[in-house]
Amino acid sequence: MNVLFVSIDSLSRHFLEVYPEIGVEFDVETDNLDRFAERAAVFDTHYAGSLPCMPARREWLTGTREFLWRPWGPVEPFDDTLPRLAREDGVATQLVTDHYHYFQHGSHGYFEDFNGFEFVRGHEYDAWRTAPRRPDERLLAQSTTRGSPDPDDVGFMNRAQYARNVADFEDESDFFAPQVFDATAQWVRDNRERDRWFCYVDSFDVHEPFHVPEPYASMYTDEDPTDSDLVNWPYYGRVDRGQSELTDRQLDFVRAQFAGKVTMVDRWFGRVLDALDETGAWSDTMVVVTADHGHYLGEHGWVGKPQAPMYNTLVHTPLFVHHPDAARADERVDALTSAVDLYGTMLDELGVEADHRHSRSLSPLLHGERDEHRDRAIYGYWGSSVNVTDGEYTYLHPCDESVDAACHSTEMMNALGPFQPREPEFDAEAGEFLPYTESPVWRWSTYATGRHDDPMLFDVSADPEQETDLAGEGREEEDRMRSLLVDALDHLDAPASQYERLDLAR
Amino acid sequence: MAETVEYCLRNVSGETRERLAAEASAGRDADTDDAGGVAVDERRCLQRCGTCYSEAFLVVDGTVAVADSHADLLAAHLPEADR
Repeated sequence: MNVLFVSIDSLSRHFLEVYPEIGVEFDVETDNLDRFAERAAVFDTHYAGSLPCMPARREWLTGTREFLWRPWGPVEPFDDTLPRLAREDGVATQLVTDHYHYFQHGSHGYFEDFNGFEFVRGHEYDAWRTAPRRPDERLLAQSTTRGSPDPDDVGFMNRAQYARNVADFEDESDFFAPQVFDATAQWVRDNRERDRWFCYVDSFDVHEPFHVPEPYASMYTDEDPTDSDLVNWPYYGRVDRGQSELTDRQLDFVRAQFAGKVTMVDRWFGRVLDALDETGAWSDTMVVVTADHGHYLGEHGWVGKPQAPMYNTLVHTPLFVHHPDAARADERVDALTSAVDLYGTMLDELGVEADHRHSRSLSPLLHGERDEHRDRAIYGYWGSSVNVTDGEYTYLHPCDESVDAACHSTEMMNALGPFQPREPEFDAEAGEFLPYTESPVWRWSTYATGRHDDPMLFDVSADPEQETDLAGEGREEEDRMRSLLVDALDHLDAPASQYERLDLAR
Repeated sequence: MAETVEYCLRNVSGETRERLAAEASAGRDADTDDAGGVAVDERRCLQRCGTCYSEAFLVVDGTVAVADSHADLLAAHLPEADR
């Protein structure tokens, strides 16, 4: 069996017609995801685990539910990466990506184990072009705010980087998703003769900046997309104040550009489906399509992936799995599943025997050997609130911000600013602090970050948009969900410090 | 008078964080609909990493404000917190 694993960054599932329970104000064209869904198991209750980008990839590629122990960081020496295990078992492995975080400070170890990798340069802050010195003023105006660094400023995360990177783009095929999916289609054709392969396609689109060429820029708006008063790259935060404040007109435009980007991704994803058609690879290839998280675009008053309560906008993610032999190959699956489960699933279907760490393979579910999978799934950012769902309710548990959070890693990564150069952690101690390895790691503490002061409870089966917070009303469900959260922490042997900062008893 | 002050956790000292947190919890947070107050928002990252890495800063009413120290920033933009 081959495995083609496609992650589409920030793909909010409520923009997809195949998940109609919430919907958006546009009829977002996703013809290719729709046609893929017809031959795939469509998972209705799939949740992210560790957020944001790199923590999600450590879940997928190493089976580690990492956010209870550490934030955004590298593959650890005691991790068994999926591409390494696969190639040790004779599987050819390939990464196709424009996800530049793999190549930044503190994110190493994710691409190195593949037999080959294709890196499409230039997305977001990718440190690629240094010219033109004065990039396109209109693009800068749409992506910066008052007080943003001058384009000449050589500090980290200057948004002029993106404007420089795309300065030579002339048509749609120059953009990122087109390049990534075109390269993937070609890889599928070129490697048809191989017996077993694993190809991971990590598309940074539909991640911001929401800068798209025509026809997508005008597909869902009557605005002039070149109007400098409009915004294609909002800062994270509240839509009603601060640097992330957007007018209704600006927010409408951002949503339209996001929707346009979803359609652009979909059209080029279709090239991959065409390649699978042409090569006949559907018959011996499992194809997995998912997202690491969603993206707030005004939902609940927020934009981006800010320090906000972790509503389902962010964590209820799409998942489609085509399997040529699975009993549930073209069914809707309502069993509760979690991002980390993809690690064990892909190993199983590749025929690679390995420990799955925190992952529970979906293979028995796919093959009709059982109907249920999990009774709970937890999710969160390191050092913040901790959240749990049983598929019907979501329970968001706050943390005590005055209690620092403990970070565990063999690397002294930046716990709060992952893109910047690292600094020594002079207060770190070393020891065997992790329950899933005997390897010593560093442990040090730093600021915790709250998202809400009180517990929040939602009946997402009746209230999928989470408009009514049921917490604090003495409901039995709140106690039950809190107990479920404790069970999950106990099961994972979470650090004692987690119980303290969450004010939970073991 | 500032309406919204945002600060980045990585950029502030523990002492400054305490002052700002006290300001946020002193009935001045806009969440309380106190129209005359200042909304003080703590953020894990304000996506201003170049500035954050090199100098003291706040985002005041959506605009980056820098100074030699947080004490100077508080004095200029949150004088009530600069006690």
